[in-house]
Amino acid sequence: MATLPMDTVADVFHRLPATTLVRCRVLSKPCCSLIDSPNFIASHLKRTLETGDHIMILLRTHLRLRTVYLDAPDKPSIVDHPLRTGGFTEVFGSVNGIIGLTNSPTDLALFNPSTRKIHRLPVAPLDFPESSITRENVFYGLGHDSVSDDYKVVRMIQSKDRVDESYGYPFEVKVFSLKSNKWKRIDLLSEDVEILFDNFYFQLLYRRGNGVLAGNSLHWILIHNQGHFGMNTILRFGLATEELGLVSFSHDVYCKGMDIGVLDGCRVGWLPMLRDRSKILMEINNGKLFWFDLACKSFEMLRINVSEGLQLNAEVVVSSLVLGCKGDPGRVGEKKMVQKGNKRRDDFLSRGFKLKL
Amino acid sequence: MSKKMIVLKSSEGVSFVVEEAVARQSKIISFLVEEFPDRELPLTNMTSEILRKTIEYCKKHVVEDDGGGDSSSSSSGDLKEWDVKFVAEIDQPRLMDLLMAANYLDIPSLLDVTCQKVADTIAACNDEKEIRATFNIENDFTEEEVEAIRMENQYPI
Repeated sequence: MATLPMDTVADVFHRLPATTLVRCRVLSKPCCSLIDSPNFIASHLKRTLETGDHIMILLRTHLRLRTVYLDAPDKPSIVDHPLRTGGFTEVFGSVNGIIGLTNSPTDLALFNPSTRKIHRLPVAPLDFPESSITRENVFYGLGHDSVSDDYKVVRMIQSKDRVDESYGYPFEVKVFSLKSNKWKRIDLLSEDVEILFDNFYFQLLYRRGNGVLAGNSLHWILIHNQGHFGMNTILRFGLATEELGLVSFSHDVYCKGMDIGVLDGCRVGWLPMLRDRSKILMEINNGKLFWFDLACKSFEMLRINVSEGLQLNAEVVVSSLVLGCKGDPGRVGEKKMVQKGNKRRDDFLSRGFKLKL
Repeated sequence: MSKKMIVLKSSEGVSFVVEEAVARQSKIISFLVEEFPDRELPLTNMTSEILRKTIEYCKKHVVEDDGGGDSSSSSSGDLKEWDVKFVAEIDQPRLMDLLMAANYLDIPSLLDVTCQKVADTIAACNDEKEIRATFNIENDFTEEEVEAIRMENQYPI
């Protein structure tokens, strides 16, 4: 039997989910360098996004992350929580196969659940004491800037304490770029955004306050607050321009407790999650998933085989090789030590066994 | 009206007479036919068996453009079903040869179905040894190197 040329191998590999490709790295040196090459990672992602193949649902319970392929909901796979500090890790976004994880405003990471590669973000210092920050006033967004082909994380925090009565509540906006591996402060805000932040203790809501990516911008919807205007407004952060702005929509479509989502990748619509030609996947009441059939207007529950615990939230993730396959450099050493320790223990046990004999 | 025929010759020297429209699904043959009309085209790296299979595929997929209401011989749903059956009936070594043929002759749709079948087979393999054996991949890693990669992956391989 002939050996396949590498360009044909690449054609075949493009069709595999990242979870399988990670395993294929041990096949041979040419296969490994193909899977690790930035060009292949980019073309694999492009194909996966175009075909809509290998879509996963990521479920987070208190202790674990689980991924499950949409076409095999009975076979979930467990992923170790990569940020293990005992805190409640939150998932704040999903783009191109990577998710944003946070334990606190200064402990964030990008993580690829298919390859288990983690990139810990450097600490971005806070402008005000941690005691004046509550979880409700921290907002995150994760997006891919298609202009610079960079992954960016936005963090917006407003203090719950005023400095003095005459000023509004202090706030800060910072953006992280994966390419530079640095945080940058966003100082220049347009007047209308400035007014919004200064005068009205800003209250944004998209489920857990996470930015929704559409048209190369992240969006947060403002909730209706009695006596305040701005109820039919969406806050927008342009990933390429790195500027905050406001988008207004017709008051007629506004309703209480409204949420935003993306349909077809570019429009900010009002139904959450994913469109699968004739069906929309909807998350209702924290992690309960339903398919809504557009033609016959009926719901069908998507049952995922999770044995224990309550599902806290669900995120749609594609299977990609973005960030590469090289795991967590910090944990490789740790793992080696554990293995050495185990080996020693094995030796000891086997000796003990012999003695007993 | 008689259809224009061309002759393809396999590595064993067997000649296959094929309608030009059928053979033109290969971008390479399409190019060669224009450059060298009325000549037999030798395909020295294709066995008769693989060439016959390739022609069978092309015959099924040819879109007749000489008028008449039914422009395509089959509906796209039927074709897909036929494709699945077509690749399912081929054993592994021949599937690889067919994939190479599709790649060499540049027949995008045949390349697509064969690649997909090979990818499905890889996904169904239990471990890397099985994949290597099935696809004739030579392992040029030492055991230590494989261990190091597994360590990086932190993945239950």
